[in-house]
Formats: sequence, C-alpha cells, structure tokens
Amino acid sequence: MLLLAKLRAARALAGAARREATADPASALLLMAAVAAVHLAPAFQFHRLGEPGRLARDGGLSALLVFGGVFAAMSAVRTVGREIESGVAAAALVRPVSRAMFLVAKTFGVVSAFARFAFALVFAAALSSVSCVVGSHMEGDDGTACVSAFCLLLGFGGEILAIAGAAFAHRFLRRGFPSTCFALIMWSQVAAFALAMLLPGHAAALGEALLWPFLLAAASVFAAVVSFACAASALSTRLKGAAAPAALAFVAAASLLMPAFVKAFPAFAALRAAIPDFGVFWLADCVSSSSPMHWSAAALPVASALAVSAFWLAAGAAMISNRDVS
Amino acid sequence: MENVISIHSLKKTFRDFWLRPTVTAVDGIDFDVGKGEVFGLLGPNGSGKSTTIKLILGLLSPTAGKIEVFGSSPRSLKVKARLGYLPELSHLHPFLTAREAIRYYAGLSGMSSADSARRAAELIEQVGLQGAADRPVGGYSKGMARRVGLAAALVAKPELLVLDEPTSGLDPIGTREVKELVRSLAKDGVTVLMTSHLLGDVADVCDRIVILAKGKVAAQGRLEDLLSRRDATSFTLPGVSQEEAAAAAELLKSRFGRDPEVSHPKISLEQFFLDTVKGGDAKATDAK
Ligand SMILES: Nc1ncnc2c1ncn2[C@@H]1O[C@H](COP(=O)(O)OP(=O)(O)O)[C@@H](O)[C@H]1O
Repeated sequence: MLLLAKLRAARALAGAARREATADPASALLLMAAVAAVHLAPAFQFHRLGEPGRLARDGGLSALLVFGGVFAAMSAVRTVGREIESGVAAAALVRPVSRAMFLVAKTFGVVSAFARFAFALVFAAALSSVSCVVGSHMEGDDGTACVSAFCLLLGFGGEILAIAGAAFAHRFLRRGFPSTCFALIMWSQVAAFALAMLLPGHAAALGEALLWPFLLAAASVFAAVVSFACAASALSTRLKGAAAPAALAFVAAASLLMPAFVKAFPAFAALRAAIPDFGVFWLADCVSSSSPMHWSAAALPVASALAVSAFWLAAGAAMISNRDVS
Repeated sequence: MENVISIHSLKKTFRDFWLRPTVTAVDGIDFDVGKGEVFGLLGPNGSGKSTTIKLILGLLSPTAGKIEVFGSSPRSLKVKARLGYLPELSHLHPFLTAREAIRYYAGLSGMSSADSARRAAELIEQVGLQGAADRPVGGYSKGMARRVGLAAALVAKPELLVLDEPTSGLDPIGTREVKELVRSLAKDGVTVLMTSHLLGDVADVCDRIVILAKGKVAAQGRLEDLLSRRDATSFTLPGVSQEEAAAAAELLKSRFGRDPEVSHPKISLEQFFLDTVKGGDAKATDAK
C-alpha cells in the first residue's frame, strides 16, 4: 500500500516534469530544427559520401546528440535546479516524497520527454535515409545525389503541417502551442514514415538504408544523452544560475576528451563510470554497408551509459539530501 | 495538551556557497503548538517567520536546536503525509490547469487517480474556483492562484496546516472566507500554524501567538491575555440616547469617583465593507 502511494507520487512528479519539458517553446524549436535539418540536409547534398543515405543517418545521429543533448540538459536543469531556486520544488518536497525519489522521478520525466524527441528524430532520419536510397536508384552516373521527392514532401511537408496544426489547436482549441507542436511533429514523422512505406519500392529500400544498424547506433547515442541528462539533474541540485550550464559544458568537453585521456593514462579508467561517453557517436561510422554492425557494439555503450547514469543519480541524491530548499 | 510542534533552542544560520555564515535568521527560539490550536507567527519583515516555517516543514536543516513535528523529525515521510502547506507565493506549474494542479499534489500525496479526481472536484467548490478550474493557472490573478494553493494544501486532509501569509492577495471577501475556513478546520481538530502581516486577521482567528523580532521570540502567549486591558472594563448597552449616556456617566462617576470613558462601539472596517458589498449585491438582484 505504501509502495503504491510512492509509485503514484513518482508518477505525478515524472509526468509533470515530462510535460514541463515539452511545454517549453525552446523544446519545440529544437525539435523543429532537428527534424528540418534531417530532411533538408540530404536534399541539398552534392555527394553521397560513399554510400546512399549516409548524410541522412549521420545527420540524424548528430541531431540526436547535439539538439537532443541540449534539450535533455536544458529540461533537467529547469525541472530540478530552477524549481529548487524558485520554490516550486519546495511545494513538492513538503509532500510525502523523499528527496532522492524527487530527483530520480524528475530525471525520469526528462528522459521520457527526450525519448519522444528521439522517437521523432529516428523516424525522420529513417525516412530521410530511405529517401536517399530511392533517389540513388534514379540518379545518373555523374555521381550527383538525388532524394525521393515523395519522401521529402511527406517528411518535411508533414512537419510544416504539424506546425500549422498546432497553431490551429492553439487558436481554436486553446491548446498550449509548444507542447501541441512537439507532439504533432512527433506523430507527423511516424505517419510520414508509415505512408512512405506504402510507396512502390520504398519498403524494399529499408535494407539498403541500413535501418537496423542505424537503430543500434541511435540506441547508443540515446543512452549517452540520457547519462548526460542524469549529470545535468545531479549538478543542478547544487549549482545555481549559470553555474549548472557551465559545469555541463565542462562535462561535455570532458566526455569528448575522456576516451583519448583514458587511453593515455589507464590509471584513470574509473572516469568511465562518471563521464558520459560521447565517443559512441562515432559509432555512426560503423553504420556502413561494408562493416555490418553487431548488436554488442550498441550493448556496450548502453551498459556504460547505465553505469554513468547510476553514478550521477546517486551523487545527485546525496547532494540534494541536505540541501536547504527555500 | 498533546504537542503537534515542539521547538527548542532552534537556530538557523544561512551559509554561502563556500559555507561562510551569512545571516542568522533564527536565533534560539522556543515554542510549542498544541493539537487543534490556531497559532500565529508574527513579526516584521526579515524577523525569521518564513525561515521558522521552512524549518518546521523540513525544507531547511537547523544549525542547532531541536524541532519535532508529531513527535518525529520533520523530514520523516510519515510526518509529511499528515501536513499541508500553503507557501507565501503560490508556486505552480503555469501550464497545468487548476484541476490538474490539485490532482498533481494529490498524486504526490499518493492518492489514486479516482480519489484525486473526486477530491479535486470537492476542493474546487470549497475554495470557489468553479468556472475557472480548467484554465491554465499561468493566467490566474494572484487571488485565484492563492485559492489553488489553498486547495493544494488541503488536498490530503492534513492534521497540521501551515499557512504562510494566507490572506495576502485576497480581497476582503476572500479574506473572510479563508478565516472562516481556518476556524472551521480548527473546530474539526486540525492544527493551524499561520504567519501574517495583517494583524487584524491574526486577531480574528488565532488562539495563541509568537512575535519574532530579529530571529528571537519577543513575546508569546494567548491572544486574549496579551491584548485585554486588565485595568479597565467596558460595558455595552443598546438603545441609549445622548441624555441617558450623560446620566449614566454621572451615576458611575458619583458611585466610583472616577471619570468613565463613553463612546459608541465600532464594527470593523472589514465587517462594514462586507455588509456594504452584500447590500450592493442585493440591490442589483432586486433591480433585475
Ligand atoms: N535562503 C536564504 N539564504 C540566505 N539568507 C536568507 C535566506 N532566507 C532568508 N534569509 C534571511 O534570513 C532573514 C529572515 O528571513 P525570513 O525568515 O524570510 O523573514 P520573514 O519571513 O520574517 O520576513 C532575512 O534577513 C533574510 O534575508
């Protein structure tokens, strides 16, 4: 009975954190920009970079890492750090909610908002990749790249339609614009992908579009960003104002340098448990037809990201436990 | 009487990022609050009222001294389950509607979805938010946000209610409603601890008060004992003409040898305002 009550409290916290993350205009803008970039970049490419759809997949993974990383970290800092400073957190912490649970549930809410972000972007990138493959079958021998006009229309047109739909819902149904926009863009990409699969020859292009290796790489990038979000939550329990973003920029820089550093100084291997490994991003390199990707290539980064997440959540719980909340 | 809150030599020194002490906001205070009491915490700005309340709620940890709520540490989840809190500023997620906000706090108290829906409907009526309950609270006036805050504080049927400036931002009608609510909760055995700048409000509802100044207790006791003038007695007689009053004063003077003070008893401005506004309402209805 008591456990059930705790689960309900955790659900309420996580649900509000998720809604808060998607209700921010900046979140909708980030998703808009990421999805647009994934569709438009291949349409303007002049080279195929060796294999059809390479730019779409690399672009999708980078957008997931960069836009997604900013989205997740920004949401975590706001829902934990800013709420502690503004007093919103105090109103939750006077309820029968432990501080550790507060932190973990809030972070979970942010992760579930980021999962929606990633869901949208993965469908967009998969569609864009298929578009390039179909385009490559149409092009001449001069090496200039083409995309499928139908896919572009569905993917990018779907995004425009989603934004228009959100404006309509805001005007006539009094829905919040950013959160409706966020949700509609997500579903527009799923629908665009599903519709594209009905077009002749498009479903058959999935294999050549390297869907499975791409999904494995996306899973590892997702895990890396989640571990970064956990670091953001934890750091913002103590750091005020601009200090949390500054510390996160430091963590991000450290995470890019860490693989080389640990290689040079193996004595510091324990750092791997604390610093998110953005090196996994270069898994995108493995997503190529010449070197098929084994699932373990994703399992390892996922396991490491789980360890890093656990480290930061534990550290965050310790940091928030004695903090004065006013 | 059973104590709901007991505070002994409580001290709180705030520290900066480098742990250097900055302000001693509460400096060795002692008081107890008994079950079912309406207890007022008074003091000028910066005297440590909010700090004391946050210590009682377990949001701040004391630098020294002891604080017990329902006989345990205020950090205990069992204690927090019996407590409701209205913060000085109603901090709400602006994207939630009033109903969603109340249900959110019900969820935090572990209520099931069905229970929280029922309780939210009840409270929306009780605090008078019908008609506005499904609008985002981001667009609410201060008084309406205050009502949502009050509903949130009451959501889990607390045994101890902590109200920080409960009437700030409310119009006289809202103020009266809050005071009546506090009195009726107290009648049902709920203990209430409140702060207020508005001394009239405190005088109307509190049984006992503490006055803080610079983090120390400057005075405490039953309001009746603190305010009544033991050295004088007043009489009220209805329907007295000016001549009769003069005669009575003369009589009292000749009998006791001291000059009595003769005046008309006054109603409070609040009562006058409420009577006037109610009268206006009635006229408007009549005209229809
Ligand atoms: N979080 C804090 N950090 C540093 N000083 C604080 C903090 N909160 C309150 N103070 C200081 O403590 C003193 C008492 O404040 P407070 O308890 O808010 O007074 P009141 O509620 O009576 O107006 C003030 O001098 C205030 O500046």
